[in-house]
Amino acid sequence: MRKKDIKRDASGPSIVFSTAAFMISALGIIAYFMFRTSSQPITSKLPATVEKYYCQDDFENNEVLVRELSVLKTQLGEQWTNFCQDRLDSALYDTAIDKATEGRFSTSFIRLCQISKRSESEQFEAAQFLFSIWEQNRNTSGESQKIRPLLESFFQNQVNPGENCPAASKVLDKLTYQVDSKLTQN
Amino acid sequence: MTLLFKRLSRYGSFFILFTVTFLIALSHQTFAQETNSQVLIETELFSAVNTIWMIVAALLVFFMNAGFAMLEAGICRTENSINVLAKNLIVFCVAASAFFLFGFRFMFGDSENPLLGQVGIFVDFIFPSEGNLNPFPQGFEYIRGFWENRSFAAIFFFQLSFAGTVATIVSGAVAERIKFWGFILFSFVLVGLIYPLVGYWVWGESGWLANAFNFHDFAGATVIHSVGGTAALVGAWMLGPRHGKFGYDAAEEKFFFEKENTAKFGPCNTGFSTLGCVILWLGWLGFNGGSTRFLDYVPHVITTTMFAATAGGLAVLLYSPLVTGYKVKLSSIINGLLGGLVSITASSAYVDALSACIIGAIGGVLVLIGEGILETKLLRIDDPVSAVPVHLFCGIWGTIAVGIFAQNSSREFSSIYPVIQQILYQVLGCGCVVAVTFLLSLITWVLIGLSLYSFNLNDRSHIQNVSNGVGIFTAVRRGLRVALEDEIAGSDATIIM
Repeated sequence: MRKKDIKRDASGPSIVFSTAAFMISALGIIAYFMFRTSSQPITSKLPATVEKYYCQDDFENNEVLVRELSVLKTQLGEQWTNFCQDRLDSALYDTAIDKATEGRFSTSFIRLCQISKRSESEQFEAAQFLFSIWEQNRNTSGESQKIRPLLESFFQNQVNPGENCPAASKVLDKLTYQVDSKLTQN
Repeated sequence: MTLLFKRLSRYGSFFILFTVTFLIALSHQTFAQETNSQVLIETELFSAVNTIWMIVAALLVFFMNAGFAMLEAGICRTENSINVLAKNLIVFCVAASAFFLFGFRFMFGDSENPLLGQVGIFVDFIFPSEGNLNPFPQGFEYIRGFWENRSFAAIFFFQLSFAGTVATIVSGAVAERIKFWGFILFSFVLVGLIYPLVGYWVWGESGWLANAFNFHDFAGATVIHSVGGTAALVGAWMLGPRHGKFGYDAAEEKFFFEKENTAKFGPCNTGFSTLGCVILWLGWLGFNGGSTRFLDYVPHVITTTMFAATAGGLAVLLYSPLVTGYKVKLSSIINGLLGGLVSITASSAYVDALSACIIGAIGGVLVLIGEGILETKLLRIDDPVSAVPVHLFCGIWGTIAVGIFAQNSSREFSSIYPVIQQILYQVLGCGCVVAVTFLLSLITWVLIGLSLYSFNLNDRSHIQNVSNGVGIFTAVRRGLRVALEDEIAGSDATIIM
């Protein structure tokens, strides 16, 4: 005989049980919202906290992180905070090291130049250090490698490198001298 | 070695082993190219893993057609099951044609117009080459950037599977009394024009809802389910109830207020329905899981989807006696589960698991309430598979839930508006989509109904009635409905026309 899936009136106990379940669920939802309100940031009131949450996310790799944070920086404008800038600078520094290891120094220089100049910024100091050892023709492992010509070539093609690459400002004078002297010789 | 393969095949493991090996080899090859030859630029890296996941997700969504077919065939009466199965099979073919011809370009092509997408026909598929592993045809730069590291063909296939779903939703609501060709023609217009139009507003390059109102709909609670549900509602309303349902006499086209025989409209095969529900549940994991742009979000999306479905089912189990006054029915549990799934579709990547449970549970209850609303004497809309409560009501609820529950800590969601304002935008966006879909569906159903009516030369009495001043909606209904004797015999007797 074929079973039918038809409506049958509910019994009294099942309605009581159902009502109890409904009330418990309602209380649960209210509790959830109370808990959530105290623990979750509200966008309109705490934009900086929300932004902090954005910047705390993990990404597939540093390249993606740099790209996502750069987009976010443009979107948030004035709401961009030091926390996020730290995250972006770290990612820029890490990718710069990766590129240098791969021998792609131009990309590496661009990333380091993007690190912003801020007081007590570890990333900025680290970037300055990298430029200084490269200017001395040493690589990140401390071994001798001709990197200075690459630096000179890179900055020769840059418009106003002093402003656009604050991390290289210390070595720029030396490189600029070299470039100027070449021009003089010619 | 041969023995090993035989043993693996016997236990069904060979396929899995082959697939995993293939995936590893392909992803290894791609990444090796990046580091060794530097052929690929990082920002345009073609990620085989992303593409493969998208194809797997699309296959899961495509498999939902089987779920819809089983569900509807099981819920409808035996004498209509072949017709229902035939409709569910052919509707994907129709959807694929319409989407390939106009729909995809209209919905996802580059366009700066906030209201209209790119107008054009056909989609080009370019062969990948060594120099360009992931070629995109002209006019699709936006989706190249949005679906980064995915093959164009994979994106198309994924979206095609979505489009097929929209049309399938309508199928259940109009089952057992619509003419086969009426449904086919409507599906073509729905997938080729209506769905891409409103879909562009939300997912397109310059769509006004997403850009002006920060409207969020993650995997299509509005774009797919509300659109399909609205089209289904209009169709079911235009057609009128099945003969005998709510005491409706299709011969007289009037309601006689006798108590209907509820057992007459009971499902013919609850096993099919349950299987269909589970297939849909499985497919939904691809539906939502494939919609995230970030591979690391897939497990989270799948988890929230799972929780919402379970909460929907449990909500029906627990609250059904209180809400409806009846014992829990199997069909209610099925629809509660599906209601939970539809509800989480808009926000599965934006919310945590607990929020997903609440969203799903409310969706389940909403299905129970929605079924009751449609059956009130005021409306008396006959929706055999409860497509309207499940897809439309839960789709709307799911869209609003984005404003309530979405968290900015998700990379998929970003809003700088207060909760109330975001909720308002969600309501506004969903309302616009539903209103436009309602209007366009109504026009389409009317045009198709009148066309079929005018072609129906055998039914001269109806033609006479129209000439005698019978209302346009009556003419449309007569054009769309199968003849009474065919309806009583079952629409299997009239698969075509």
